[in-house]
Amino acid sequence: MMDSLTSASLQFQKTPPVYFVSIALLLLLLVEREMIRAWLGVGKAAVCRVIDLAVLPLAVSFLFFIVLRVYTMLR
Amino acid sequence: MAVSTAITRSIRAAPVSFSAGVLASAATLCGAEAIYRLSGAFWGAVGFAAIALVMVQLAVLAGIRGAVHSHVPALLAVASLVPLTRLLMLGVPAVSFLRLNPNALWVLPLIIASVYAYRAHWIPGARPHVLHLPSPGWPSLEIQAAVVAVGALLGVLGAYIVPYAGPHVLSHQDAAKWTGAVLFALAGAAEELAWRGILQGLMADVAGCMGVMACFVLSAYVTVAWMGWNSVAPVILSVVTTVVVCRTRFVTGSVTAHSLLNFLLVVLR
Repeated sequence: MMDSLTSASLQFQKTPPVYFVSIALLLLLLVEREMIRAWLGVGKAAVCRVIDLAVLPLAVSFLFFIVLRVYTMLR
Repeated sequence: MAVSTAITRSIRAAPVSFSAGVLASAATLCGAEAIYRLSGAFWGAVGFAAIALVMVQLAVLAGIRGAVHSHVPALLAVASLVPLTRLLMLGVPAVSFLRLNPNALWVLPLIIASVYAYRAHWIPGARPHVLHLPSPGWPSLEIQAAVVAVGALLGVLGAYIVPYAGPHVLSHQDAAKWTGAVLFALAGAAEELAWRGILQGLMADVAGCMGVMACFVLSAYVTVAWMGWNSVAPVILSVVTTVVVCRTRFVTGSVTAHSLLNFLLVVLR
């Protein structure tokens, strides 16, 4: 009984707009990162690491979002 | 302090810009917090995202202008973790499985980012040690043990002092509650590693004592914004860990103490 309750509550039904703010920021930073790589070349690629630090937590958060949505759809 | 004298001298010549930067960050964070309280989570998240984006842009600009190996881009990049953490708190998927704190998943992205930043070679300055005590011997170990004991004591005190009406971990235990408690404890570790392990060292290199105090204020702000009245004990512990990490250059005791505090706070309340 308890197991069924907890597994059901893992579902991720509602997606309010606040979730999409971090996804939008992630997309923006990824686009900027690729633009910097293209414009400045390999010599200034170290600048991309600055962006990587912000991209990393947002990407992990996005991964949670995708995994939980897929899990909810499959259940 | 393993930072070279030349770097320290050249950087400490600009404490005015550091103060202006810290004040500007504090003002914008307060503004975003006010927007969140007045207009709701969406506009609050937009505010924190905008602040993080501006800080990353400034870091990129500083890097492009040739300061890739100086403290400025790294400091701005690591400091952008403060608004990013608030954004994650608001924008990470809320899972009702974690009944104690449905938004607790924000902890995992912060831990990953903190570990990446701690190990990043492009972030200058000496970071506090994790595995090896800088000065071996009983005095160093005793200090770390004392910090852990203070964390445990504050955890127990906080659990009994702060009133709490939500679900308790120890009554009707299940996997969901224990997962929530573990994530709550990991939040302490993530905060110590991010603020004391990385940001404090950078800020100290740039602005000395003022940088250390600014780092403490930023970390206290994140804790208060997340935990509300429950944050009294973690903030008191942050004062202790700030001093201890500054003096001993060793962060493991502080990470353990904050994790233990959070764990006892959430389990015993």
